[in-house]
Amino acid sequence: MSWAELSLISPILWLVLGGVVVLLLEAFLPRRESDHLSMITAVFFVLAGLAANAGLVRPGQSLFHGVLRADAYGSFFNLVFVIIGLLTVSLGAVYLRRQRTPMPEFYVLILFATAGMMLLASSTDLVGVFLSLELMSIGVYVLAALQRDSSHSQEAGFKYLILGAFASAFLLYGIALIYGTTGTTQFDTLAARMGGNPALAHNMVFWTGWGLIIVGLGFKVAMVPFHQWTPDVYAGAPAPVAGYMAAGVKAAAFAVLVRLIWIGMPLLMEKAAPLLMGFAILTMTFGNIVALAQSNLKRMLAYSAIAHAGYLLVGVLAISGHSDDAATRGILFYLAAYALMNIGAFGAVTFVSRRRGERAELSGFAGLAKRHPWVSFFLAVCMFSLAGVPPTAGFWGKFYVFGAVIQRGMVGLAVVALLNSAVAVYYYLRVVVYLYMREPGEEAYIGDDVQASAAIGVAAILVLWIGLFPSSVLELARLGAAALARTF
Amino acid sequence: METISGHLLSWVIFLPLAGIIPLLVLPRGADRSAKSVAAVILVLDFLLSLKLLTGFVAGDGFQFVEDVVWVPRFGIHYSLGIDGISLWLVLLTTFLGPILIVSSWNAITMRVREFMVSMLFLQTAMLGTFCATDMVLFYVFWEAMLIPMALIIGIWGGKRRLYAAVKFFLYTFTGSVLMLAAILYMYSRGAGSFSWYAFQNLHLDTSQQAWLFGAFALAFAIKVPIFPLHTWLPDAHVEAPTAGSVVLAGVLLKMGTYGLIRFAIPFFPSAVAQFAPLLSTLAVIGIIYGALVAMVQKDVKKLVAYSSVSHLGFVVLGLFALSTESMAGAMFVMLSHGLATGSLFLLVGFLYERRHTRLISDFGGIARVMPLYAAAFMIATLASIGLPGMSGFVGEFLVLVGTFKSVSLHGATIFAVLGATGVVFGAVYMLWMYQRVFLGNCENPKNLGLKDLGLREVLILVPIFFFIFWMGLQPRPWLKSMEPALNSVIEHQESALSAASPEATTSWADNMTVTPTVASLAEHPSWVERTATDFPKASSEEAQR
Repeated sequence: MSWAELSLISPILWLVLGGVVVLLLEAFLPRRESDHLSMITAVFFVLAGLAANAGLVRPGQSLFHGVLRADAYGSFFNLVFVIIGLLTVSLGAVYLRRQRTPMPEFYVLILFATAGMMLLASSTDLVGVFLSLELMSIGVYVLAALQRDSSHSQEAGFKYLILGAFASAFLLYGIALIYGTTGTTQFDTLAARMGGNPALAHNMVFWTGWGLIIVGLGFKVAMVPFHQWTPDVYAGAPAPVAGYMAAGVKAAAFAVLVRLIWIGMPLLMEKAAPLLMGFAILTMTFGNIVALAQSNLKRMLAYSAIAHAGYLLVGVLAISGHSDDAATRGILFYLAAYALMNIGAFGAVTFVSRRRGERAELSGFAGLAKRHPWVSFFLAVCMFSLAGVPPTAGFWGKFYVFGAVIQRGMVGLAVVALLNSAVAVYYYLRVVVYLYMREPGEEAYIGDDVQASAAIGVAAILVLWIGLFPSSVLELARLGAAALARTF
Repeated sequence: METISGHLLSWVIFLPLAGIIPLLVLPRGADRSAKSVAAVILVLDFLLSLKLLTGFVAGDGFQFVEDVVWVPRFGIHYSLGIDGISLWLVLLTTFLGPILIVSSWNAITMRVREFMVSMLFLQTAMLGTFCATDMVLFYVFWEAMLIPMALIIGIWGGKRRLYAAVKFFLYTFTGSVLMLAAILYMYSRGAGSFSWYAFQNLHLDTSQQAWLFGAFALAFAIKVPIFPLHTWLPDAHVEAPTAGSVVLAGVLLKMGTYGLIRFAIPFFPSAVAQFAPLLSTLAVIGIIYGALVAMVQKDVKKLVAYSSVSHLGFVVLGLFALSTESMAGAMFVMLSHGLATGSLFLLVGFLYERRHTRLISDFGGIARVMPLYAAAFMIATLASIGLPGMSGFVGEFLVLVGTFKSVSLHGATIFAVLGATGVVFGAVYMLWMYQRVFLGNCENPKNLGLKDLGLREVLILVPIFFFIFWMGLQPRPWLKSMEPALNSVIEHQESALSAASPEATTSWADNMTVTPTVASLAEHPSWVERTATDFPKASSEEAQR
């Protein structure tokens, strides 16, 4: 370990340092001062963001004997995580202020969990993947159960913990099997051994290992049939945390999944493509159809998160392994866009919620546009973006991913995905119908928090901005994808 | 001035969008100023678009071209341009814009500012759709248009507005995503960029063309709407507020037919030849079905809505007959239908504002109470029927003549004859409705106190009627400016097909030389002038009755 290596992971170090600082301040500061902690947390996120930004243009470098890799791919995700973190901290501060009992551990957990996400996106060793996945997940387990007096939140945390533990076990077992058959856990060595050993193609133990890893990650991204936890956890967890999970955990899990697929090319794709295709179609169709029937915004977003995992899996299937891979680029873009619109949508729930109990029934949003024109507008932008209507970031996400899929000749799959997104329009549009076209009922929600509306506004304006000028983010995604292509 | 003339199309497209900014800073409750600002912006936009007309040179391909790289990695450009086809649709859109605002002056009472914002956004999206020469840019405008339109129906519409808005959105969106798949597929087949030219010059085999044409045609057919995909239309039209119905009938439906002539027909020549009989059949079914269903409607607005299905059937028939006359006729019907049906919807809206009903049975004999209104309605009715001397006649006549002569369409005569019955049916349902609403004794006491047209309403209608007559009496300049663009569509079709099958060339080319062009028709416009001189007598007689 050298100083040079440490400087290359400075975004992660900033977050860990931030976590320690906030933890100590929490112990020594009087509790009512804890509102300042959100500012301090934000400062560390900004520092991490600046460091991540510098990492985008550096040539890739393997660190710590191949456990991590600092390259543009990781840096792209680091930037996404920083934005997710900043928005979540801002919405979380609103949530905590409302609870009146200060819970500074929220900030600590967000900082550590985000550090875990960054590590996950940079891991190039299966053991490193496991450790960073746990660092991320343990933070999120606690965050999901943050609302101590709500049985729903407790249920959410517990459910996520139990099922998450299962998934971790699957992942670990898979890693063990792969280590047993190839004798390595490092990605580049693994790639070389898979390429140079034709006998592996017929080794059932080896493929079982891969299968178990896919199951473990499939759990984190909410892939059907490993999705059952999603609706309850998203609905039960506090809204800022649910948004954080939908945006961050999903992005981190896809970051490592895409890297894994790249190692295994082309052998892995050959074996796994039919199975993954089935999962992808099942995931998006199931998510969309069940989402149609939801009357609670958070549950609807949970099922929509499942559907989006399906679209992303379609993108994963199109990864070609070429140096200029359109699918990888598309997935990176999609994840960045998805993070913004999802946090905006969950932010709207934070905005209208009260101290006790979250308020996410669609009927409560009826006529919101009359009382809160701007927040309604922002939420509508996020909904149109989730639906993939131009000119929003969500449209370009679908455009790039499905474009790559069609370029690979999988026209049928792209058509299934596009038709799915047409089905999805119905439930996203319904939110807009409630906001703008229905009269407020007796339990109409009212929000009053400027900070929450500002956070939603930032997310929505970024969604629109990327929708009008997609090039800059696409260029970043290209840098990331190209860095990945150079690794193998 | 320099900057405006260099980017004239961008100015025309985005001026309405920029007009949203002053609307947003207006204080709460400043409804009157909101209306005025929107009206002024759209009048300015119309005046600006007239510069397009003066600078336009017929036959030069795309003009007022602008081209800026938008997404370099995918070869997506912000590229605009108009030719003889889109010029008139752009002008129709900018012309109807201020009329829509003024027509909703009293009709829209709640959330006025939001309504104006939606209208301005819609205007930008529609203009962009007509001007885009990059497929992705086109798609972005095409889809973006759905948002304000769905809001207009869903917020300011009638009782079943939610159902109508969602149905409208879902129908059009579903059709469009398949078109997106087709666009992406064509890009991946080596178009290299998303420019219109690249797509037009792409070589595709017959089965690819068939599939891709299907995807494009489905998106456009839903928008037109072509039978049997029309079921969203009556709901959307009936539930939309008056301005929404006018913009739907006047401009939005033309997006579909515009898409067919701009994209579907030039991109897939062999598929067009293959599917022309099917689409012509559906078009003729639409003409007759729309007319028959219109005949039995109890609600005037629904009747006008179904008449749109019938009229748009003529457009589709004209486009797929693929002769110069029929295509020019189709273009002409598009413009004329925008004016005639637009004015009918406005008139129905005026009546609804007064009586809050549109049922034919609630009226009768109101010509005595509202003579001016009855006269205006008669003009709109006759324009819709296609009385010679009015714009509707020229279009439908050319479509039928062109179809009759069409060499590429098998059984063209049958299509033309069946289509002609639609004209007769059209006269029946419109005049019958007119008789039941306006003529006879005014028996319903509620109708006795109806006020006649006010100055604002007359001012809205006069410019529309002016163009209805102008286009009907002087069709030549209009046709002349469209002709080169239409001919190039036909020539492209012809050369693509001849390249595909050598034997077909001879018969096709031989027949084409026999077919007179619109220009030759326009040089001997005896039929136009003869009927035009007869016209004033006829209409004054009608009005006296």
